Amino acid sequence: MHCRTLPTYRKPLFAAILVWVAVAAGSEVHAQSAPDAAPFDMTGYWVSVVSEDWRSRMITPRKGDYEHVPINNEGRRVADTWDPARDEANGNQCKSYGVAAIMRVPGRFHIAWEGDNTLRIDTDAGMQVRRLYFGDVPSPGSEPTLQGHSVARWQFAGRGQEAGNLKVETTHFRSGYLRKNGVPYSEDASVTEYYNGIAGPDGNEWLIVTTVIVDPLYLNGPFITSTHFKRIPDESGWNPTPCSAR
Amino acid sequence: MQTFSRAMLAGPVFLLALMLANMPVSAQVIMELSGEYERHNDRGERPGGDPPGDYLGIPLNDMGRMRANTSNPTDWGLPEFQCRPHPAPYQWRANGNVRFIKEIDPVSRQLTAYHVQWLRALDRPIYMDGRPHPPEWAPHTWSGFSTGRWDGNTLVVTTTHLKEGYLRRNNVPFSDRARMTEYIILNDDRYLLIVMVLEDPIYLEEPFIETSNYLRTTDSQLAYYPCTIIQESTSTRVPHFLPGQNPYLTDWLAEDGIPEEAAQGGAATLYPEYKERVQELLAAPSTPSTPSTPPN
Repeated sequence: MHCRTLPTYRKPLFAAILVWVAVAAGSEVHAQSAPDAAPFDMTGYWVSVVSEDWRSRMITPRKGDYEHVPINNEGRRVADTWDPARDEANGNQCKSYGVAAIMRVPGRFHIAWEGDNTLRIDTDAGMQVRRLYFGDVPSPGSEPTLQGHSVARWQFAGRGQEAGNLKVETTHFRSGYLRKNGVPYSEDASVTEYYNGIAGPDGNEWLIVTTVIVDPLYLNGPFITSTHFKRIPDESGWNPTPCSAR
Repeated sequence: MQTFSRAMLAGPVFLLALMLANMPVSAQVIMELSGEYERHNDRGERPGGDPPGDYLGIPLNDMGRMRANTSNPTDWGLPEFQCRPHPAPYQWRANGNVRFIKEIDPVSRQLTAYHVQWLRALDRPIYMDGRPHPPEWAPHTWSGFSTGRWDGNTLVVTTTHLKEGYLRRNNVPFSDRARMTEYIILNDDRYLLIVMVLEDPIYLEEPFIETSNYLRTTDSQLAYYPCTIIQESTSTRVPHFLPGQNPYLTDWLAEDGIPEEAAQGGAATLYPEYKERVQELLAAPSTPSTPSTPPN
């Protein structure tokens, strides 16, 4: 078979056009901003419904209670040194409100878009702010923070591309507590979350957040929780309260 | 030869560029449920179950509370109950792994059902072929009658015709009027999320929602679970307590620092504002609870 070749000077031009056409085609598929591409609407007000782990969420568990956390010996040793007075004295009242634990803290949550690439989550309990960045946003070079640097992307399902979830991976965070009684997680941990939206049988909308924490320093295996939130119509009940170490 | 290579490059370059263009905001996943999963709840049942009177986080109404307070979990030792399978609403939180099997019609090659299996359970079919639920008068079973449909990446399962059963091993009840809806989601083809919503007009103030987590595994099997009935007790009584006479309901409260009111459950106790009420209760002078005395 005879193939015609392009003149040498046209080859880079041809390649560039090819890439441009491809990028343009791809952009057409996902030209939408992150808000437009969302397979479900996470924005609005949500309230925790504490029908799970009530004992470790609605009260502060006693020191040494790490039931159902796959904690290792080092984690146990650190948890047994928990001293809320010391945390207060050192300004560490928010250690149980960090990225690995905050979605498990009972409260109300407000989720809203900040521009086209950032989903912002405000909590009334502990008055924390999380920002979930879509796209290729480099991690800040500054000191790690309580909520870290969260990179988000929509994941679409195979059956009809309109459905899917949100996957969030967070790095660059400070160490904190998985539970209020000082069960620790370290800066070496990885925190991955999946956000799913469902329509309940009684008309309620639910947001389910699955959190997977892998911590080679304090855990023997992945610590997985799923936490559910019911959509509420407005900010009624919003009750900003500062972090508490006790 | 050089010309052929450049032509061959055009396709991959196009696809690579297309992928790059799509990467930042989204990715695609395909969900296939069949397989085995290892239970991975951060909080499953305690060995032996929760203590009597522990209804934390359950929206029980007065009738449900009375039903739970008058039951005696030692009834699990009755010959009639020893080999009782866990009821479907409890099953996701029971110990053990789970298996999903596809049943395909050999002729039409359409999905007839998923079969879900656990350690202590009968086979539970979830019919996917659009068949209707049985009429109201049809018999009720431990697993009920389940039909499923795909809603995007979520398998939505509706279950009716449940026998009366328990939400916890301490006999927190649900009635045979209960209706269960489950949402089954496989995140990243690895993390199985089960969201269970139970509506019960008899024993609950509002729907009870519970989530459970499993990890997909490739090397687990379900153990054979033969069940043999033995004589566990020489008593001929059916274990129970008359209303107001269960002495064991508060034994565990002091150890965990739980206010008695909160332990009773109810819809109000599930919401964040109840934390303030808990603080009030904990700050109030405690009243001595009735010491445990075995019933005659």
